Amino acid sequence: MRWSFPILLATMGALAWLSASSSLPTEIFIFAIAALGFNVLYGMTGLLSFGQSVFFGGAAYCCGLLGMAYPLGAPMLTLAGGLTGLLVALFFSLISLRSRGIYFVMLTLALGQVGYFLALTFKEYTGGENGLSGLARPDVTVFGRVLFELQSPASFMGYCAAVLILAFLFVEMLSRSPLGSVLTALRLNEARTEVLGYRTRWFRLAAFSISGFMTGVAGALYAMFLRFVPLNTIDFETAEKLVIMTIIGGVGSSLGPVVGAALFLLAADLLSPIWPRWLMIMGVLLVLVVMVFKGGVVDLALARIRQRRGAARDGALRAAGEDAA
Amino acid sequence: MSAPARPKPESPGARREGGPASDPILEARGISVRFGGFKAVNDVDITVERGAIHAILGPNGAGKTTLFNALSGLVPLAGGTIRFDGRQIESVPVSRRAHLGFARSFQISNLYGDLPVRENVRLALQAMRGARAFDFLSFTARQADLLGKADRLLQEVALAGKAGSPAAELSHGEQRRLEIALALAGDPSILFLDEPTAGMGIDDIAFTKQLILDLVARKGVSVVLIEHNMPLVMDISDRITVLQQGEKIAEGDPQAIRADPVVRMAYLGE
Repeated sequence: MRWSFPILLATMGALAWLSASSSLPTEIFIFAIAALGFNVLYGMTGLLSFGQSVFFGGAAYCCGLLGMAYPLGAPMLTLAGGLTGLLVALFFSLISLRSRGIYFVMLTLALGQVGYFLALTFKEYTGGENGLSGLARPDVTVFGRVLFELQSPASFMGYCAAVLILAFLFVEMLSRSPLGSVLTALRLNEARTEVLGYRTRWFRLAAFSISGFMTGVAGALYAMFLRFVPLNTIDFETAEKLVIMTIIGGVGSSLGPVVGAALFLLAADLLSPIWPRWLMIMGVLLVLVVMVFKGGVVDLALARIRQRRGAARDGALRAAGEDAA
Repeated sequence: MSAPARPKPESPGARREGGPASDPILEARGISVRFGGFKAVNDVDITVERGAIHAILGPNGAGKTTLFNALSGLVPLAGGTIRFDGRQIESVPVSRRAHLGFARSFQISNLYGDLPVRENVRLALQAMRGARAFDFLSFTARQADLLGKADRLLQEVALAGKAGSPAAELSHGEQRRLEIALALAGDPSILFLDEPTAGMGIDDIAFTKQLILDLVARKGVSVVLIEHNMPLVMDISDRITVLQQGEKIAEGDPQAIRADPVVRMAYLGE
């Protein structure tokens, strides 16, 4: 979609401008990155993973521990989070290499639980139920010199926005690239893809790595954002949240996960003070998306535009045809 | 991957001589496939000569498609060896075989229905470029060489006019032809066609027949064919293997098969 990047910028701008504090847009940007990462596996490659919480939370812990041990700048820590996510994802993909369909989903769920209990068990490192606290948020530095400070909420929001834009452009590029075309082929018809001569397991590994890296980046940002890593960054709810956000927003485009993250977290922010059971609304929305408008919220909006444009074009063609006749 | 240079078959008549001076591209010995306790294919030998059209006949359930799947690597063998171009390949995975020169079409069209016809072919062509398919920093829309090749292939199977439509929207005959185009994308030296004309109209059958003959004549491709259209099989095959209940019951050129009393009993029902 030609318009997806301007729409992304407009959405992000509106979020930053309209919300009273910077923390809500920051959180939305961070989860949008993780949802984009999830969608590389799900929307593009067709692998439904309930284990994203381990990439996210694992990277958050790793970023926190590294930040306490070494004086690293924010970009280095962000990259370190991405690499952590990538390594965990590689491990996941090696274990689940041969599983398909529901078995694959259950396996990611189980591995997700393993990650959670590991975090709970190794209290010395993760702080267990109390979480990992006492983190400092580093600035953007080059050789120890501060290039851009991130201590104020607004400047950190800017940093997260920049990362989200990079992640979005990356996914847009990926979806038009040779690799993206193979991942799509894998989703649509894995057996055929194998017969054509693609070694499908390596492409699965690639999809996992990309997804793990992006989700890990988001996890690192989350740790820097909170200056704290609560245990729930690695629990099932985080994985579930990413799945719900992405499906509600729409799995077929890069805008879907971003819009989904925004809708979910806006609803959480606006509704939870009024109605503690606000998640029910998300449940109803999810059922609607799954049963009625399968492409998600973004696709619903785009379909209307396309319909209108298609009608206009048909009209023009007809007019041209009449002219010719 | 470029296909090794192959001598062009002189004429269909000459190929039919076969005889002791044979030059097999595929030699399968003792092929067996089991599904649980059921012997779908039992101890079948088959030798495909280079540049020949080799048909596999047999009543429904005789194990023709299973033999195909076994030869192309889609089902594991319970026993037997496969030699292809002087190389043992029974343990080579499906995706590697494509790079060695194997290609196949499926009995039930096995396409990317949601993707445009040209993209189906482009994916098939891209599969031959190995690690370059991992490139995520360039655009498929700018792969001028692949897209050009895809359009030429589509012209060959008379689908150039449909390049932009989703594969699922093609007619049955067109989908069969797209299947062939995907198989040809790898520039194969052996082509397995599983009922290429099934459900086709008369015109499409004639076109497909000509296409197969052209492939053999121009590119020296060896073709292994499952086909129920008897006149077509008798017309274009150099050699025919007849299966029944997973076993080979006869083999020979079309005249011999037509005359074979065992085949007439088992298959032609006479």
